[in-house]
Amino acid sequence: MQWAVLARTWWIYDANQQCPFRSAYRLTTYLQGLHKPVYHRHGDVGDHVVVFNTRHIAMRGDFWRTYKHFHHTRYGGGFSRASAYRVHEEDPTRILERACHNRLSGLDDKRTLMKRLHLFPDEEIPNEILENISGQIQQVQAIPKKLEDYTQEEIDSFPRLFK
Amino acid sequence: MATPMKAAHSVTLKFLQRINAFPSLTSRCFGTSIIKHIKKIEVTKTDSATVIEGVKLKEEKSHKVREIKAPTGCPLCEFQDSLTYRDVLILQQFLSPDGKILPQHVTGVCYTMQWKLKNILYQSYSAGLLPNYRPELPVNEDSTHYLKNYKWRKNNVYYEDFSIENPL
Repeated sequence: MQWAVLARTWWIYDANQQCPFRSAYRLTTYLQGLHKPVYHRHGDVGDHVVVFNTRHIAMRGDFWRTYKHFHHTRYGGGFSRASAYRVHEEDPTRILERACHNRLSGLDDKRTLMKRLHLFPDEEIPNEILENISGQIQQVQAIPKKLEDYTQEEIDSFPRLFK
Repeated sequence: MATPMKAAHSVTLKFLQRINAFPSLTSRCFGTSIIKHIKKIEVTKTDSATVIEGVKLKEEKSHKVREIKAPTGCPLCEFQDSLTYRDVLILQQFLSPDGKILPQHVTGVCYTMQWKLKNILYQSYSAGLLPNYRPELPVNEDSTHYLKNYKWRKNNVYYEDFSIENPL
């Protein structure tokens, strides 16, 4: 019996300039254990996932303003909604957390899976977690290059399209 | 009745063919060298007289110009579907140093591509890829002008890239 098969591995993911919803699709596959051939819902085959740079997450177009998070406290007049940029100001990890939470809907062990998700707004991760990490998840989106990142030679040597 | 209409039609066709054969006639050449020298005003003062001269500037190095491959005279028509907000090196050529989009009659771009260029430039500007062309972002406390309240512009933005299939 290979003990390493049932071990819980720790994965790391850089959320810099990534879409939260597309990265949630990838992260939840690792959280549930769908990337393993021994996957079963009732077997505890999920892995830990550590996400950093959630503060620099990217949303499509107008979504920072138009995407809303709703909350009802179950009391009268307890309905509130907030735009994504306001939520991000308060707590930079909440958007990704919510995206993963919504992705795992319908599962009995959703709470335990969310406990295995570790989110950090910047690159500061405690050493105890860093020691456990054994693998990296690939980024979903390619980061676009700004004009500043190109050297002046590259800008000049690029062919002109008109005179 | 039929023959005069046909004659007019053929004349207009020939006229259009002539224009398409020489795209340089429809678009004006825009450059700092060769055709019209830009002259610098120099003032030299002596005891008896002041001399104001227009001195020709030296020719700058001419950049390589890519051949226009589309049958229309537009340099961008071949990139109709594949131009995205990430192609900053191309988009930067269509901006003036102030940050404003160069007009059609200067660059020789057709109407549809100019319209697409506008939208793509706006996308790349709001995605933060053209940092030197950014205007000042006001952060107003007035809730009545919430669209001008650019608080969400601090955050990263990306746009759909239909030329690339994004993997999930």
